Amino acid sequence: MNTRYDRHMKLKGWGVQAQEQLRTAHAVVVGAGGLGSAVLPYLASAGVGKISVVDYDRVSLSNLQRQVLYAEEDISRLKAEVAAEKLSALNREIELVVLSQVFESHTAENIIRECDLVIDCTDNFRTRYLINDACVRTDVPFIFGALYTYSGQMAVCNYQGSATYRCLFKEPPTDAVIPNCAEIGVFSPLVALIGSLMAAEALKVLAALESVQTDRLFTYDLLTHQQHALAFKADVNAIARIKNLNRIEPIALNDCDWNDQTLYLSDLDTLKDPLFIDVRDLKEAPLVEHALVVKRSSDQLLQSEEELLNGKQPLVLFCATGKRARRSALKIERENVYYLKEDIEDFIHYLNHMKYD
Amino acid sequence: MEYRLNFYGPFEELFGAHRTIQLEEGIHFSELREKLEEAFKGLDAYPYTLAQDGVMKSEEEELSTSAIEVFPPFSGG
Repeated sequence: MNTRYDRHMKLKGWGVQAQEQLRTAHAVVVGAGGLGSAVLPYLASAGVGKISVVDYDRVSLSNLQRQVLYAEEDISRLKAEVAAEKLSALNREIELVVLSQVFESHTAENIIRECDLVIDCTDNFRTRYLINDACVRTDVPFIFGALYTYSGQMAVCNYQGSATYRCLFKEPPTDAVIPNCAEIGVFSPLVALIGSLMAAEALKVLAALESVQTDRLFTYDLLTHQQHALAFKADVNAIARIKNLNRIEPIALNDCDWNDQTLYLSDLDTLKDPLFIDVRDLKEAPLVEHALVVKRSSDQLLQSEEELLNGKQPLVLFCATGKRARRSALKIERENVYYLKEDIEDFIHYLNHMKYD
Repeated sequence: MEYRLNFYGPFEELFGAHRTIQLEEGIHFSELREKLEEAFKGLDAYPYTLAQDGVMKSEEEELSTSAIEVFPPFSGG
């Protein structure tokens, strides 16, 4: 054991055994955004032997306010790849696995089957419930963290028979009623705080310390510094139902879900002569003025615009986050209608830098 | 009897951080859930957990103290 880990080794209750446990451990981190940026460096620097980073997304300008693993030069690059490069520079003794893909129901169990811990750093309920179900079925512990403006939640789940996320919140919202960071913002130091709490529990789980905090939902409000530790119990029926499924069921959340009309910024360059349609309210900020953009509310679009609805030009609907655009896209019966599932500020940045004839 | 409700996260913005509600003493949490959803329009669209004294309560348990905590899930990351 080298001197790299000396300050951990000197801790009472840590020692050679705990450090060796970390060296042979495998953690899967799903989501390399805000929370992932906070969690990953602590895992790598502490010497977790193998870390898999799962994220399909690319770095964008609006990420840099809180996703401190990335820099301006990384914009448009795949987050999982950039994260692995940065972590490798931090600690070349560890193995990093890059998985630039969506965490989906048909691959979830294979990704996590051989690992010791999953760390849920995602930003949506679809993936959160999928991680819960995959971990319950493969008997892998997981830690989740989640944010809402100035407040955050964190819990260790499914660890040595402890409670799971579905024991707290049985089913996902029937509609995407809880807004995410792209819609309501997030206070950047909160990401570091909740990410640090997750990293602390992750290292304790992987080092097999006895002080892992299970069956408690920790919440923290950075406006008031109020904190809560909510005790909750394993719901054996909820756990058994997931274990007994023949396969993991995809989590459908209406507004949050992916379909073949979903586009990300990285997909836009593959479209030939797209027309971008802003379906937000007429005066909704920020205004998007560009030669390839027209403004039509969802109702206007459905009531008229025959040349748009009958043509073959790819139509890409957008709004502030993609939710309204998705609803509008689903109503239009025509080929080549898509919706952009991206933050509008990132789309504006894309438009300002795109090349077109 | 008057019970004090503590709402968190998005509920705080929708309903206020602290509210009160008149309830019969000793009702079950399943009944409480119905009463809350009648009193706070839109609450039924959300999943949420009810707790007292920092402990999550199941549907069949009875209210004990006069303060009730209502926790929604967060999704951001």
